[in-house]
Amino acid sequence: MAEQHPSEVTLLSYIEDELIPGTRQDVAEHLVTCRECADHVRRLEAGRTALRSAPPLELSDERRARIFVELPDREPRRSLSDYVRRGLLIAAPVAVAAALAAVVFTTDPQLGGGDDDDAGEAADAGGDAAQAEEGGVEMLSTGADDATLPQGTLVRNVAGPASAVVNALAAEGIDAEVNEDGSVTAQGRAADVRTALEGRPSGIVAVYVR
Amino acid sequence: MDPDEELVRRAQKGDRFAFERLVAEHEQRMYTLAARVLGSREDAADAVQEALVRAWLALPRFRGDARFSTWLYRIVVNTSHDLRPKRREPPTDELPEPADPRDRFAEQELSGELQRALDALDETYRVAVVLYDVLGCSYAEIAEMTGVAEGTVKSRIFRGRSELAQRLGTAVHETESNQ
Repeated sequence: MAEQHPSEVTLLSYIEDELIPGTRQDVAEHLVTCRECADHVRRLEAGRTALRSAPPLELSDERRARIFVELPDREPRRSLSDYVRRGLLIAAPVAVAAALAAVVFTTDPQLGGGDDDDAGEAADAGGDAAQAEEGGVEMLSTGADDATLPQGTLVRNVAGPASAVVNALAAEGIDAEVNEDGSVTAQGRAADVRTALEGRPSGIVAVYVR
Repeated sequence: MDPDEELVRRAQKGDRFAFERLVAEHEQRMYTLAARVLGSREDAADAVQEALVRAWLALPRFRGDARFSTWLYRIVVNTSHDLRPKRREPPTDELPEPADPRDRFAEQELSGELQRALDALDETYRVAVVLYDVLGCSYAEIAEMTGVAEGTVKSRIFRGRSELAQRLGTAVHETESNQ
């Protein structure tokens, strides 16, 4: 039986010295007798040497300055704490009313009770809402970052450009849009999106569904 | 912990100074990535500018699942991809000599034999070898940036390097035979 050649990944791992000793020894022995694989290894090493000799490149000061001058204003985004805060604002009058009711309730000897904790919490809720409103940016920052929506669930990566992917999806009746990072988010079921993109080759435009 | 975390948090709240400091950390690598993928100094500067605008606008939605640098380079890869079909720089002999020494150096590098061989590669191979060998990203980071499995990344590096070496070898051979 003819000897099996190491895979591309194994040969790359050999060059990068990422194999465990036993496997490395097996590949080394194979390379002694297999000219085809030895040629692969030589090309991999030559390609690596050429690429790693490429120096870093730098923007000119003039161009760098222009980039920051032209950075647009960012629309303030609504985060979860915005909605929480709004909820509290709506809840505040209700809480105050509840607190008053509780006071009336607990001062009525006929009805008994006397536990003021609930009333206190309700009043606190109203106070928190008012404080949150005054707190502005600082209040918004607390835990808000984790609450923003993701792009959706990744379906697959297809050849671009992203606008062509959106058009291809639209042709199948699926709404989609290009995100700021060049990925695409489609509205619908993952299976439908996958089917709509079946004929499209793989590439670097990530397609998500939400 | 992501070393950029604190600056990212501030930039997410709209602190432009924090964003500029973040960019200063990564700008050279962003530009090198775009320049090697696009093969053009001007197109690369446009790609970096576009990527930074996209990053700035999308930053509030960055959740920190990946390192900030990985997220940023991913945007550069996508922006470069979007720019590539639209832009073709005219031959360099029609352009005036750049005034800035960094531009002159980039111009010289991007008109060299290595860049011609890179330009001839399939885009997915080119992106993989530039990220791995030129920028020194890990397989996992490249997989994250390009949305493919690590095995696919390795396969692309294998093929990209191999084809590049063949093209460089051919170029040398042709040069020798023409002399």
